[in-house]
Amino acid sequence: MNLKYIAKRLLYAIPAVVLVVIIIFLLTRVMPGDPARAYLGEMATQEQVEQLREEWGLNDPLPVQFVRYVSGILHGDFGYSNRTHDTVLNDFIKRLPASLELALWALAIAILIGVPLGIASATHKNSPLDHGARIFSMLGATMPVFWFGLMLILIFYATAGIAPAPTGRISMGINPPTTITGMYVLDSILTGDMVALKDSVSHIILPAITLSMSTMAVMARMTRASMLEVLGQDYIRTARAKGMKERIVIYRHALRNALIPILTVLGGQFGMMLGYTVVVETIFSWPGIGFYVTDAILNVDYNPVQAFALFSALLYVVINLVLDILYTVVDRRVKYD
Amino acid sequence: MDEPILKVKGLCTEFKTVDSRVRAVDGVDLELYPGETLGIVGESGCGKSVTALSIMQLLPKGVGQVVGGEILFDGKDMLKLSQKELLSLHGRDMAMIFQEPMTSLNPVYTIGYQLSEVLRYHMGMNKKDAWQKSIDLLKDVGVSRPEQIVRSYPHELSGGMLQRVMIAMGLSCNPKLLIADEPTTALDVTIQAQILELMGKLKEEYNTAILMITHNMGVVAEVCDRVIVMYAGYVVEMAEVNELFDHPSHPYTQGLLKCIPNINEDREVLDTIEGTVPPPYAMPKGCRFAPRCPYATPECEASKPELYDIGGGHTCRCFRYKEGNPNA
Repeated sequence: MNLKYIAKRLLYAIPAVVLVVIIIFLLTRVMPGDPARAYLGEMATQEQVEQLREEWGLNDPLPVQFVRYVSGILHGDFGYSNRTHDTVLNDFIKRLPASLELALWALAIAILIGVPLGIASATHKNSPLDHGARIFSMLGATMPVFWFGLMLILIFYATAGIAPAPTGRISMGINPPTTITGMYVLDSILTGDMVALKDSVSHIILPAITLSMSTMAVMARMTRASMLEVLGQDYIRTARAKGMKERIVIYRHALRNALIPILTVLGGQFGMMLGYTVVVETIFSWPGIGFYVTDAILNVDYNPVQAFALFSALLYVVINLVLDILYTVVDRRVKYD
Repeated sequence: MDEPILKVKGLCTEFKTVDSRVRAVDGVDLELYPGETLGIVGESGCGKSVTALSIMQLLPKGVGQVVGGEILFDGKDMLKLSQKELLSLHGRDMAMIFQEPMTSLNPVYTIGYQLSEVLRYHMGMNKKDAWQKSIDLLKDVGVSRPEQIVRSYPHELSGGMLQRVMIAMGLSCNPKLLIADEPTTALDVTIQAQILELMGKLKEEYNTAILMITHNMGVVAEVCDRVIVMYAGYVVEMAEVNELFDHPSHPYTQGLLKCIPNINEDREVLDTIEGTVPPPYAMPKGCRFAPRCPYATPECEASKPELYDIGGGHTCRCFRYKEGNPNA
């Protein structure tokens, strides 16, 4: 792979990230509420609030605040959270494994169900299976995430009673597995902790399905469309004329060609997922970054919100770069100069 | 004479359209012997490619379907074979090359991968042997620097080169039958000649029967032993190649041959056959060529002619030959 190209792409990403920093800085400043008031509570006097505002530099002109904020970022200082009384960086590091675990599960579900569903839809075009899959993916793509999550809780926890209460990653009485990666399911497997494994899996399934739903639906639709186009190509007929088994024709000859648009859509979905994490973690009280940020927004805690936006923007840039590089692996006709 | 390797009797193929079924091939008979090249000529839409895809059993699923007739390949009834039996025939005993070499190879795999895939699957070769054999095959079809070409991707090669690769792929398992669907149409003239020459050479070498589908009379003259002329879904004339060029009998064949421009003639306008092929949903009741035929009689419009034998393996679907050859 072309290192020069990667370096160039990263350079191009800088203006985007700078823009995100500016916008998010301004947005947090117009959020209703006064962080000092929120911090001190209703009972504090106006003088106390003023004093704290002075102390935090909130009375300085916006450009001054902005410069201070940016120079902090450049030094790896994202400020303190008024809620946790810890640095935002530490808070993020602590919560990242929970979010990462949820996102990876959701991504795995979305890909492992969405893509095969789309393939089956394409190979059985206009069959009842295809119609069913299309209705399913249309519902999945249009259902509001928060509503779907609440329905899952209602059905599987409140009514059927087969899922645990939506309160975090593991039940109260059960010890989390020894930390290796910080991801409970993986750590339980690595340490052979069967009790924790069973419990953490049962906790992650509903939020992961909720988070994966719209991506799964979009993957299924895109895979179907992309596969249908590829299956009509001459080289597929050649593969059949060569006597290749249907399975090989579909998975080896067609799927790889169909993959590029699927990857593109996946990149876009990643951004959506970042946003949905906030909703899903809140509904399921999942102690990840999304939950943390929701709490920060509700309490006018600027620093975590700004850090989250920046983190999302950087992640988005990196994911898209990785996808662009993946294109060249999947299809050798794709070349970057 | 040997037994024919391919025997098609009364082949009828239909396509589903939005509101009806259209018969693209209507009662085609043909026989092909080992080592022979049989040409099928006709203009676009006459059913020649559909005939080929029907023989291969490669019609687009759910759209095209053989609805009648018999296809005997190497003694086996193609229409009664299981999917598994078909797979073991395709690429091994019967191979096919297509019109557009540029789009007929998978863009995301190397030439070597696509060639060795056939060998690995049908001949049970391991990866390394199949790769080596692919290089040898490319050498056989006149590709220079085959060691380099096997590692290339289709987009890195020219159309002529890709058609050579397709031919190598088709011949990789010594098939008994090679169906070539307009293999030179997409190539420029000098490359066309090379490809035809190559196919002729390989036919001798491998004793493969070739079904050559083309609309180009020049190609027919160059490589075919016998020719079938198709019009609007059925066979209108069949003859040995020299016989066909010397004594074209069906008015359509005569028209086709007249359309070939001659360099020694000084003329402004090329000959054409008046009118167009009738669409499948509006086939004439009688002879399908009657509306365009200069010799058409009321009989032609009222009833369908059959294929009449006019001697020496030459048959013609025209009422003028009902009582034998009037020119004989």
